[in-house]
Amino acid sequence: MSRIPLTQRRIRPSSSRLTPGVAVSLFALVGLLSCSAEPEPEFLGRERVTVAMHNDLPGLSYVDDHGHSGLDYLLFKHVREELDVEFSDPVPVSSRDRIAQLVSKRADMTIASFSITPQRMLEIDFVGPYLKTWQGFLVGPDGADVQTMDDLRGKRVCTWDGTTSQETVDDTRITSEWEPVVKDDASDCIEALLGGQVAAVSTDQTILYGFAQHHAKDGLRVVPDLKVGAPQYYGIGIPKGHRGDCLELAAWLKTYVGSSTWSKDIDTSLPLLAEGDPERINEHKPSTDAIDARSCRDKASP
Amino acid sequence: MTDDRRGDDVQVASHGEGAPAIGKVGKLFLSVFVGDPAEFIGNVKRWSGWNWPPFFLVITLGAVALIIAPGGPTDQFFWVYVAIGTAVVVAFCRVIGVGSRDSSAVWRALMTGGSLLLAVLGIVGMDHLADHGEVDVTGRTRISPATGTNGSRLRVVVNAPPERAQLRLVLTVADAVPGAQSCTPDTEMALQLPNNANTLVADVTSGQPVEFPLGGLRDRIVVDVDLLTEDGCRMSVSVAEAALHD
Repeated sequence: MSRIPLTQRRIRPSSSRLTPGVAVSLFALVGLLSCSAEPEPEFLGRERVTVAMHNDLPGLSYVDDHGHSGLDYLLFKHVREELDVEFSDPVPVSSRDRIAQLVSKRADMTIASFSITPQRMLEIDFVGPYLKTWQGFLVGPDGADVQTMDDLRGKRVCTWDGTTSQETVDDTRITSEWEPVVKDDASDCIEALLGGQVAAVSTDQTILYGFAQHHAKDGLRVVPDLKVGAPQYYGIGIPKGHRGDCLELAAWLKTYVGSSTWSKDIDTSLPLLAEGDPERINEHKPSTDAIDARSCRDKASP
Repeated sequence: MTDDRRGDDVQVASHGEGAPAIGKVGKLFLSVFVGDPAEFIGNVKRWSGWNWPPFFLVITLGAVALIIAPGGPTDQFFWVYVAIGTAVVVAFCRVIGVGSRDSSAVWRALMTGGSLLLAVLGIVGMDHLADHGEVDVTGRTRISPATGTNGSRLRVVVNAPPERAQLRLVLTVADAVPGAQSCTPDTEMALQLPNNANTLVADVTSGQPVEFPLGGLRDRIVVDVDLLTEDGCRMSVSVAEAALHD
């Protein structure tokens, strides 16, 4: 067999040889291959994002026979709709484990009444705040006379582990002369209050209003205008190393907080927060500058 | 004294009372500025003994300038250092005879004179900076109390300040309870010299420089700082920079 020079062995243009059926099959195959080669959309480096949430905070993030409810859960639903990525069902998290769960990659995002602080910003990134609140006091039927800080002097005040509220109670206990009681989680403190073992529960007012509504028949009430410590700013926690995704989420959050959807979500989840004065909702609304100053940073911008 | 000049050859002769002494001083002067008199007529000797005195003079002047250098930001010393450095380099070139084959006695004299002039300028410049340059007084500035809440008044004191016309102050604000609050973005300060409302500077944020006009020599400078933050926030305030300048 004589060798044919390479230049003479050039194959004719294939289109001239293709029957219409083969052409259609090839086109379909190429289309299929191109579809399967397209990478799945990712967020935070994941094709499927796992969100950690509380399941024991009525009004914020609560799970019962009817399913999940609360402001944090509504926010999660908006985020899920906004991002072009799959989400798994929320996984439960305790206040104490929020950072550890993100750092150990057991969760990719935490929406769990997570206060932004400089200390936490060193370990994780925040997108937020999406809500501003203050630390207040929840009392039971026995605490009808509690109106001021002096009325709590010498009494047992419950907070739970891993929260900024606990730090504030520790920080102010000398001047306030409370007897702090630290429990594992919120439900332990509420049980202690209902059982008369503590005189008050102290944490963020948004959480307290949720419990007051949930336990209305038990006579729990938030002491109006009684605040302690600094304002708290709730943010969405994500692991460090995803600044692009973080900024994308922050841009969306600014739009959300400025929209009527945000006000409706508050009104739906925490109706007692602004009971009798709808304008009070705005006290809890963070500004765009506040979001810019705290989102996706290692330390807050002045 | 007669000067007999033929081409590049120069012969000097002195006559009269004291003429030898004048001749010796002139010779010394020429030696310092131009080089060995036996050589400056023609090519200069490299590493000649008469090339060293102007070099050591420049080195001495440069050392004096460095010794009298005041404290302060290094960038203000840039031109002084350039002058001293250039003087040393030129003087050294003169010692080793860079370009000596082609250079005339006038050029060598210019090198010597120029290097000495630059070294003197270095001393004068350093002396000027010691009197009018920027002085970093952060180390002798104290703020008390170091923490405050909304409405707190803090006081910044600069002890034993040198006399200058302006004070530049930079204060840093941080959360005093970093595990329980995030108040830095919502914190501002109002600064003013005591009993002088004209010097009030409001809405100052962390890290923002503020200038205050000062008048005359005083044993200390005092600035009042009013803290404005959210209720319940406890903030730490520290002095990041305090500098006096004209």
